[in-house]
Amino acid sequence: MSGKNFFQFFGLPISYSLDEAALVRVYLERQREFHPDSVVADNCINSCAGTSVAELNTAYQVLMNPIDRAEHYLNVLGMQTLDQLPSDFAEEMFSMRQKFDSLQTESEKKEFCASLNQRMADIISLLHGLKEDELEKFGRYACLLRFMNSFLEKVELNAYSRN
Amino acid sequence: MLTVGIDLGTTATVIAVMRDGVPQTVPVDNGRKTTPSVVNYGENDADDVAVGRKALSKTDYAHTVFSIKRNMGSRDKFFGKFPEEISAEILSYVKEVAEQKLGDSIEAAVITVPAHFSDVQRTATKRAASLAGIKVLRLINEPTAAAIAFGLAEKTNGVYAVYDFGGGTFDFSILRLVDGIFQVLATGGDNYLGGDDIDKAILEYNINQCCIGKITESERLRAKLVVKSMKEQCNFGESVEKDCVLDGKTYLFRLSPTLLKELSAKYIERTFEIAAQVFSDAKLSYSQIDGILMVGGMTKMQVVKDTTREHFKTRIFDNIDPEEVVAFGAAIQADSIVNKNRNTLLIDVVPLTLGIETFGGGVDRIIYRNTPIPTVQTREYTTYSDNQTGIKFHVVQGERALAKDCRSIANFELKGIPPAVRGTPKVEVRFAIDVNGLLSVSACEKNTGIEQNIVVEPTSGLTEDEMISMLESALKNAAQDKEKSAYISAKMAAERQISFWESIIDEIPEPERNEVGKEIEWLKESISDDKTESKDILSTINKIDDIVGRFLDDIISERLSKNPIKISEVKK
Repeated sequence: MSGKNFFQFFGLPISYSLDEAALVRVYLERQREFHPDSVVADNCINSCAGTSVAELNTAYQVLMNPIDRAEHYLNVLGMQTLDQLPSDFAEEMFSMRQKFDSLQTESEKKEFCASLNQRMADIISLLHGLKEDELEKFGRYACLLRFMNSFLEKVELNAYSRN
Repeated sequence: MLTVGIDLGTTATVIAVMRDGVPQTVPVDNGRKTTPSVVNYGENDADDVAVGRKALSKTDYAHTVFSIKRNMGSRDKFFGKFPEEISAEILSYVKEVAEQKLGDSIEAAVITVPAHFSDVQRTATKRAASLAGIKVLRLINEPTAAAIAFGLAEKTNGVYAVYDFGGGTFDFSILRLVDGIFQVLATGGDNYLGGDDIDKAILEYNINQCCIGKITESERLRAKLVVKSMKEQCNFGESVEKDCVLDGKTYLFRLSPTLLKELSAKYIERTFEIAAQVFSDAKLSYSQIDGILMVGGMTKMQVVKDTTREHFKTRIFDNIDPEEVVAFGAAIQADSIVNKNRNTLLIDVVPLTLGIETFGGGVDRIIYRNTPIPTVQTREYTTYSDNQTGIKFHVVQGERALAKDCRSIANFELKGIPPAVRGTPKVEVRFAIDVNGLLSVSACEKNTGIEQNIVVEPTSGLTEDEMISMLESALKNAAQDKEKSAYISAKMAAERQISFWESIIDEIPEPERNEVGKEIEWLKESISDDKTESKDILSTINKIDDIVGRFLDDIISERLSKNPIKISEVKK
């Protein structure tokens, strides 16, 4: 994914705030142009078209997902995504894990997931509010978001598996 | 050469074709739109196969296979046949009859599958089509097909849900329709939830009420057919009572609209749970959709329609026959693929998350559900020990945390990794899902650039070898069938000619008369013993024709001179 600029690919401004309607419009236009079903060509070109549609789909998905988009935005601006959680956030994640482990009932767990979702939504709106010279802060919050998301995914998966 | 759309359903199969831009169902089974997906294998002769209503008319239910779609992709055998082969019987039958009705051969088809069908089930469906001699243009998801049919009829843009409740499966999808593009936003479903379950519940209720003890599986199947027709009658708002003969005794089965509602409530509730997850995946609320399209035989039930309307508080569309709509969409898509029609375009998604089993039995999720297809994702893997030359992978599909709870798709082993210190080889594995939703895997060792050919062995369904041998025998059978029909037409031609030759043989001079006589005798013998090949019959016919032909003009003019043609009075 490195080296590619999906904002540019869709003709959108390089910004975390996304004009979703514009993205969908361009995405569908490109689909009409490149989808193997609508490409008038022989088999060879058809299979090539298949690859580029796969890329188109990836680009679209990355931009539509607020967490992937945050990381891609950082990469486009030449910043590395953090592999490790910044120390000031480590405590929040740790107490969150502890709290979840202490929960007993299904309804408590459901409530926990809802509040975690809310916290993530708050961070996403915080990212939207950050200015371009606050990239380092942006990167730290993007990392927290990633950690929270994988924790939530794990929690939800385990809940699902018990059913 | 025709292209068609086929809805290969759990309980019924429908085949449709485009006529002047409008999809039409081809009446196959005794002129009916749907063909029951039922196959009967003759009690004494397994080659005596009956499909559809003919299979239902056979009373030996012990030799009849119902709802084979539920077993697609498994290795279960029924009367010595794999699910692929049984499905192929259904496909062959509808193909053959449709070809007769349409007066043209069917070359290729778009075949529909439940949206949440796994890779194994999709592969099995594609193989069933190959066995039936049908080229699969595309496998498309049933709810998407339904949306295409609706979209074509309604010509409106918006976001719609498709509630597809069939005989054996339930699917729920949310799609965006923009100027002929159908973009699936999210999808979900249950392979083991359908009208069959409600029939079963009604049956169990009556078995309990009538205090019937254990009954055999074939009696159960018969009783289920009774229950099914009761359910259909009850849908008109009346209570139904019907006699059901089991084990020689007659029992009175009862069903009232209230009871039907009670017995189906649990299953309808389950469909709403699945729908809620799909709404959440699409990040939409119930009020953000423009309506729900009702698809599948179960949505003919008033209770299903009413509860759905109340639950989602939105408009429901039930104006296209829910049993035909999926086949319509498949026919439209087939037509659009063949004609490269840029006005209709379908962007579907991966229904189930695809991942690799991790060391601890968990799942490394690689392609998430609801990812638009086609898609390509790569992952880098390395070795655990020094000089390790191979890595084993187990591909699974599903939303569960543990690999053992997911559906096993395939095992493969990456071999030939150059010996190195552990953790240094970099193996990039590439997972690609094509427009049919089918998976392929390739790998490359990045340090050396060695490409790996991965043989993906399916962990269920047929192995490649079994498939090849089945295809070979199918081709042989097709060749035999061809020989059979050629033999019949040669025989008919011979019979016609013999009576003609015999009428003139006395007028042929010797020695040819004797020769022709001998050939006719040979021909008579060979068309009665059923052993002679059609080409020998045809060559003999040609041989006699040659000889007779030399004298034919003379014979005819001789006859004409003796018996002048009388011109009869023309009546006006």
